[in-house]
Amino acid sequence: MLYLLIIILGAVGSLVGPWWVLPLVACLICALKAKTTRQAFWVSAAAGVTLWTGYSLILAFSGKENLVDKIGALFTGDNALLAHVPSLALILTIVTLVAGLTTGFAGLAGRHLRMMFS
Amino acid sequence: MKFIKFLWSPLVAIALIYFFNKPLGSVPPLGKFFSPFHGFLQNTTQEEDLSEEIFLKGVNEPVKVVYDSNYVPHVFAANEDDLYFTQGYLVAKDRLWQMEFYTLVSSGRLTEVVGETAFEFDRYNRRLGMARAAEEIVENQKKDEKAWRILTAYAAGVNTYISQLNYKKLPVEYKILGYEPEEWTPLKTILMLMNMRQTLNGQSDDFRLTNVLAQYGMETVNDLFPDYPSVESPIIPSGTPWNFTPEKVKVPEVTLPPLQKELLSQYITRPDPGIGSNNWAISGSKSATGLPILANDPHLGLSLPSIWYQMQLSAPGVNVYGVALPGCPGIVIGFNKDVAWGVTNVGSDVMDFYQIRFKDSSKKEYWHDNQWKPTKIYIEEFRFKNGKVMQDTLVYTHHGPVVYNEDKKDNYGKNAPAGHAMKWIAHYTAGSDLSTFLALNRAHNYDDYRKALAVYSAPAQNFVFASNGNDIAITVNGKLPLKWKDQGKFILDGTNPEHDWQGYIPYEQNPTVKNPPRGFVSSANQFSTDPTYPYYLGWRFAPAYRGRRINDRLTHLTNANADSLRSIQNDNYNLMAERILPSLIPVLEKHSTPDMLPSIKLLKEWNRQNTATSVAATIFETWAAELTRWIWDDEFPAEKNMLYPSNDRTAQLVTTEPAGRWFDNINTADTVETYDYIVLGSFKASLDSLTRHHGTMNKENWAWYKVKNTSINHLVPAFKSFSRATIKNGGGSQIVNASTSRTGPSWRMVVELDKEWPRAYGLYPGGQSGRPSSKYYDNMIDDWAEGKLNPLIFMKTKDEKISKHLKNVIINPKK
Repeated sequence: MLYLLIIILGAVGSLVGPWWVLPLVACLICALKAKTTRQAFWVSAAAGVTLWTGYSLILAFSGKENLVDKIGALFTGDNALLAHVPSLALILTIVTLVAGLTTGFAGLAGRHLRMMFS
Repeated sequence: MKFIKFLWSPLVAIALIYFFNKPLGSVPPLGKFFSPFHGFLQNTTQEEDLSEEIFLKGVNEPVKVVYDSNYVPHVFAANEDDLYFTQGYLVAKDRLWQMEFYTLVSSGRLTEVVGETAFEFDRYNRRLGMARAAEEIVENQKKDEKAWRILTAYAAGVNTYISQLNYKKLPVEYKILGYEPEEWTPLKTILMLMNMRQTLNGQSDDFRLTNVLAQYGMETVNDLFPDYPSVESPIIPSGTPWNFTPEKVKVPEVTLPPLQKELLSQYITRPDPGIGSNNWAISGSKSATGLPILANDPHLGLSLPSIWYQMQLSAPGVNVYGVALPGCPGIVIGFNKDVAWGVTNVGSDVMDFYQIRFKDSSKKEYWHDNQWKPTKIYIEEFRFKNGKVMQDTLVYTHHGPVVYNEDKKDNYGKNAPAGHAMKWIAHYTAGSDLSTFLALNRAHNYDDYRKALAVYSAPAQNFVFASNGNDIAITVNGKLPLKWKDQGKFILDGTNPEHDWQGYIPYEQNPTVKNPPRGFVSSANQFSTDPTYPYYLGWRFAPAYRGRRINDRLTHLTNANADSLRSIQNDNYNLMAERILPSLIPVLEKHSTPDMLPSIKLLKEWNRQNTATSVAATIFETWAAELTRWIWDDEFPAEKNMLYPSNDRTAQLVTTEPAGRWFDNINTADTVETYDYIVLGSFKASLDSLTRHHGTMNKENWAWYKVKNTSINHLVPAFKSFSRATIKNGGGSQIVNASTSRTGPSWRMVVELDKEWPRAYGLYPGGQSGRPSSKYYDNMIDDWAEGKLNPLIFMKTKDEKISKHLKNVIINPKK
């Protein structure tokens, strides 16, 4: 429930607001709905990662245009080690890190704020 | 206690968001950039983002835009304001980042978006004074009601597009580099044109040739750096009468400043031999239809996004097709129902340097005309991406800016001597280059063409013209300074008023020819005229090979069609090889060793075509450059800021003066190198170098296109994945098909004029879209490399059905 709520409201918020609307949504929902700090962190992180990687994959495979390889190559530059990593994997790793960390800690923050004031 | 226990996680969350929201060095903000809702992935969703009907404030009446399948917009507007508004809007939609980038370059503001690495580059561009001149041009344009109206309508269109953007919709380069577009203004359009002035007129050899003069004296200069080549086929055919009384040009008694004992120490880059162009028109007497055919291929630095943007612009009084410069209203090279025109660079000497005598190190006064005159001092401010601000002092004399005050190793500009003021045509602010192109867009005949050219200033161009009234013409056009013979060949004396430019050649006296008896006009950056022309334009132009080859092929042309001219644009014949190889090969054969035999055999059997897969072309081109170094680098070393004699003089030496003293290497005191030694040694060195860099000689390793390595890079060269490398094409710098590693035909066009409706063909090495993920980003490159042309769809009316149709867009006024 918590998981779906963050995904749905996070997606709606992200369509109109800046990128950090997603962690903000996680924070608010966890403040209202999360039962434990552990749940707040991990469910938020999972929801954030699902939303971002999911939508990234949809855009990457929509078949319209490929920018993933070109951006991937910009980030790997001349690094021989990274050059063997598929661009999509590289980009999804960054997406997972950014979305997971920010939404996870924002969810936890929501739960903590609730506990602070209750 | 509870407070602290629960506060750490909100702080961590805020810190993370803050961290991912700002750029990390050259890495874009990770949060914004990788959010699929906002970042680069959103840029893959925008291809067809123009719906069939849109509403824009700023449009007065509905505008119809028909996109053909090459993503070329055909704009049909009910009035000119709407036409140029729409042009600005559409070009911005496809090329906004690029057009703004050019203006940041010419105004010396790149540090603001890329940071400190661009400082010396910016500083140089500021010191050239381009932005200051551009501002003055804008003030002049305001007085020209018609041009100003078009400039402001265009800017309004660009700004309408910018106003629709948010981070999500920004071109991806903005997202990567982490900045946002500014408002567009007419000044930015002029800055864009300034870029062309610098690219085409912004080089100088004065400084290096002065060093040669100081070292070797005038006799050697006259021998090795003559004012006219031994073999030439000038743009205006010899024998064309000069029907005017020339202006008097006063020659001073002393034409040189006191030469310095020490060599001037600033290194000056050579003008880029790849920046040139071809154009020609054949008269009806040579064509199958009995009407003229015109061709043009301007050679510029190849880049992605491309320098050109194809479009058709139609409104009452104008219906024109061709290529526009992103950021500039109108069509620069193109055709309409009645006429076609094209341009190549003139390359006359329009940048000179004056040795300045300052009163003291404050540089507030300088000596000129027997008195101390005040300089103008400007403080230039540079804002860096990180907020840091730096200042630079710029000193102006009446000649122009002192480009560098002292010699500094890291000065970016290699063109400008220290302590010398620059007199440069790019600072000329009267006239209106834009009006010339806008008038050509509307021209119906030869008289319109001549009128259009009258207001043009710089960069001087060879304007080729053809009309369905069966006229062809070419005019060497622009503000050409009135100079005494050899004025500005060397550094000039900034204290002597007689050394100032004396004015400009009157427009009517600029070299021009209409319907010459030979049945064609042409240019390839070679000498504008033969020495009978009463004015001095410069001592060195592009080598004659391209021009001679074109003229040779056009001379033999009969019953031609567009494809005949397309084939000449792709001509790969190596005229330089034809000229010098017959003298060189016997030397190789006389001294050959077994390991040289296969390569000598290839050269002997070579058909002298620089085709993509030719190995002989690779050997010849590498060797010709090596041979030149072996002959000249001991006497005129590049590191001492000297200049090699011209390609023509080198060929003359190699073919007719084998006993010449220049073959001896002056750095070897105890031996006298001979002609044979230099020819053989340079040949062996070339083979060694090729083997070292490309492996053993075979068809694969030494294929010409691999060694030439024509690459089309993104404007930010670090964005390698937005670039295309090692294009498989033939050509070379002295070849009609002038593709080099970084330059080449940036637009190829052939137009068959017709009484009813012209037929035209063209393409450029890139694509209409500036978005690297678009299929229209580089879709024309492969056809370009193969030398093909696309039929250009020139619509008669907005309702005409076209076969290669993509979509229609109606732009309605928004109330």
